[in-house]
Amino acid sequence: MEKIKQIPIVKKLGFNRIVLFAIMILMYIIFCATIPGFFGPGRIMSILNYAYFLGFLALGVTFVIATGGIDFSIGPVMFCCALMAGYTFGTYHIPMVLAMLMSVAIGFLFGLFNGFMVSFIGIPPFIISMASMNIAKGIASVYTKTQSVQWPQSASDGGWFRNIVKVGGFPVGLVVFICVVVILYIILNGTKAGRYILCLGSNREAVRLSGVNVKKWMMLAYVICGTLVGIAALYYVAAYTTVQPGSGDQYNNEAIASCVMGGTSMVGGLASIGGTVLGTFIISLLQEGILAYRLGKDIQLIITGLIVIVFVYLDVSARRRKS
Amino acid sequence: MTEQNIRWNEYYRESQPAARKRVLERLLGEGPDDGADAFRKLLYKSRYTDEKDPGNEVDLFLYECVNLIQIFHMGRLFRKRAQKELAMTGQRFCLEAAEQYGPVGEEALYRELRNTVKRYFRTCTSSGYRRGTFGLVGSSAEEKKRQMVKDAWEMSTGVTRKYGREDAFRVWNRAVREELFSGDPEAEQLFRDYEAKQADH
Repeated sequence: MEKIKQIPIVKKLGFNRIVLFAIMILMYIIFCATIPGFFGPGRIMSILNYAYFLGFLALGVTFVIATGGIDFSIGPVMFCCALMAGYTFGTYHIPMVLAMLMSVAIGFLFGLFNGFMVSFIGIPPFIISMASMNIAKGIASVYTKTQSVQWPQSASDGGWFRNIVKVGGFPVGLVVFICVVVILYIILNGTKAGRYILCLGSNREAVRLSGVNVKKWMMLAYVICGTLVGIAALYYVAAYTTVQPGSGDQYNNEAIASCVMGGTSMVGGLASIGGTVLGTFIISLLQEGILAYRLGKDIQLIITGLIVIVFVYLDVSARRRKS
Repeated sequence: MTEQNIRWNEYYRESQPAARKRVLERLLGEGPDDGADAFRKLLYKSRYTDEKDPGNEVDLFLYECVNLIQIFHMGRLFRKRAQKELAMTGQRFCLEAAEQYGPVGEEALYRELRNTVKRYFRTCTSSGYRRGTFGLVGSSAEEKKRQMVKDAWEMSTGVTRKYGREDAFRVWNRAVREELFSGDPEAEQLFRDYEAKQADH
């Protein structure tokens, strides 16, 4: 194993990333071999549809985990954004652009709230994000009167918004997703903000004593996460149209699994945008495979839960081994 | 230890910037100058002055401790940037400037850097340091010590070796090692073990 790690190309790309990529390819081959009709562009588009919104969630939570925190509210907040913006569009007939901006703004405000409570009030991220999860579900239910919300179909008024996923056969969503990934990669690795976020996860007390405004940069991580959750909501409804109140929890697990699987340390201080993207595609592929096997949503939840346990265990044991 | 070194003990034992400033001013006033007084002032300025916001209380050397760990972990795509940042850290530490002052300058630099590292190591005992699993699980004293040793290796030998700057940073590397080893005899063994493990990788 050590010899493989020393091969220049392996060193350059990173051993873990190569393993993840190999897992993804292997999974795809297994699914194609065992599920009739799995191979083909239709299934790939379906995997991509899932990967877009999950990817935005996972990328967002990567920033929070990099600070040594966590956000368990991302799934329900995503649904809250989609429900409130969709309900406002359908009931008050606001322009679609405003509805889309509203979704992003709601995500942003939840990020601001979580970040403020964690950074300035000092409430542990676990507690505040659990509370936010319930608040998001509650607000969405009250606002929509516990009704499911239907975003417009492509041919309907305002249905153009679905072009954010694809136009004709062209995957616009993939282009947007890649652009966002590049921007986030640069923010995390090439800017002062990203460096402060990583340093906070590495040793917050030292960063505080060195005169850095710890609260501001900590809050920024949550705001980035919230904003990406708002965008994820748009990609969710663009792919699936209907949103039910009171749910969204399952996507927390999937996003966190994608993130940890990709090499972001649960202790903070280490984060990998590329790894998160790979993790997202593996989870999306797995979900698509489970659906194709007709195993149902419950099995899907069990498998995702187990994946989280496995990767959290691997992260903890790797940390012990390294030190 | 020379008489001059003993005279400056009080300054290098102190970790609070305001208290250090008072001691520095007093000791400079008491004289005599061993030839490194101007350099000590330069180091103080470089460490505690925020050029953009002079009113802000900072410890830029302490920040560099955390920053060096991040430079160590920077991806290959940012290799040039990492090298540039490492050079800037060297400038911040006044590594080249120390050479102008000869052995007394190097000694002053070494003691200033040890003072920095000592302050960093103190932060490693805080309750928030490296809390596991999304900040939910606190680390034991043993885990904190191991993590601190890992930090010490990455911010000194690790990062300077990775970017081929071991010679330029030799005073820094010595300060980190000796401060680590002086506080806890077991730390030296942990450091050596970690270094050997990294060499295998």
